[in-house]
Amino acid sequence: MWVEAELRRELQQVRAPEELWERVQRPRAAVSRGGRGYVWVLAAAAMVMVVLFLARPRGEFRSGDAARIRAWVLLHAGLDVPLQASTALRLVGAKGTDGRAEIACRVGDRDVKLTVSRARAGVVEVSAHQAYKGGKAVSWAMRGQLYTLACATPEDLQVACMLCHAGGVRPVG
Amino acid sequence: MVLDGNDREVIEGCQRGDYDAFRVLFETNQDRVYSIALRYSGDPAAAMDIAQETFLKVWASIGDFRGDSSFESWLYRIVVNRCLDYRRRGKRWMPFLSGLLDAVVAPAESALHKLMRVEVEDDVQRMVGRLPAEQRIVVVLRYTEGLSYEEIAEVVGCSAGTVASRLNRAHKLLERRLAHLKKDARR
Repeated sequence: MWVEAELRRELQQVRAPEELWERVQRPRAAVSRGGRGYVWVLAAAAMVMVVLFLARPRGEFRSGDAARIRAWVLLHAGLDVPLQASTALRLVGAKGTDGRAEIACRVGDRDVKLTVSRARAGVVEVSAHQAYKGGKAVSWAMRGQLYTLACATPEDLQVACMLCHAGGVRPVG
Repeated sequence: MVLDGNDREVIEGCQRGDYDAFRVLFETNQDRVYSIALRYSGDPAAAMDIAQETFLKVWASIGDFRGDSSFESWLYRIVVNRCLDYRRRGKRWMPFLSGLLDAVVAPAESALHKLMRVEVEDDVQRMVGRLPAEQRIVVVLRYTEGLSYEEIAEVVGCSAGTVASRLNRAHKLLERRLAHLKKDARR
């Protein structure tokens, strides 16, 4: 049939662009490239409407691997959390959906929870310490995302910084 | 589609979290994943998004791959789901809108030249893009990847008979819509 021959000829495989690996490796830089800003602004508006109308179920992912959890959170919550492997704490997993994620880990036999969500427009880098279920919590905003780190002890807070900072840097503030 | 020793080694490497193994797996499969995404969406930017999401999903969930089906089938299922999901998220209008905006923004001469250039590939891709989603994905898997009816059925999750029927309907629609190409095709 002529149409089959035509389809076979015109729909054949093509080479993937060189920058695909870069996008897979560094997902944060991936979204909206290529000088089509105006289209993406419209797309963002469309996506907001989609988000308003779709109630997507919460997902959960269990892994001790920082790269896998990072990829899962990006895929399911749309948030890029620069998790790093560290021997001082043990990653347990993550759960979340559009725009919000919780990453669980353990310091010794104590739980640590990192909550990440998108920051509202205009929120600048801030930091606030508060009590949390008998433990300590610190919140801050950075690069458009809100972070809350909740731990059992103040010492655990410092260890938990290694989730994203291998050198154990304190959160902003 | 049987997994050979090297493939198995690469997959097991990925399952252990070996990023070099993931790079090998990416290099091996990038063209097929991107091609399916491009032929399905008809838009290079959308195809990049779909291909990126596919590989992120592969990396995040390769630990769940148990080898009950072939790796290729598992990969095809992920890219097909990403294609369908991309469409459901309301991005289907993007190729049209971005094309329209490109034409408006481009210099007049270039836009005119673009509009006057009638290419068979564009025609075919556009008409494939107008097929219903379940027919389109079957057409792409058949003609871009050369899968058999049985292989397509395994990926899409239906019977081989359903695949045949969807392909048949797609052929009829495309024959009608691409009738102007028939004369050239006989050359």
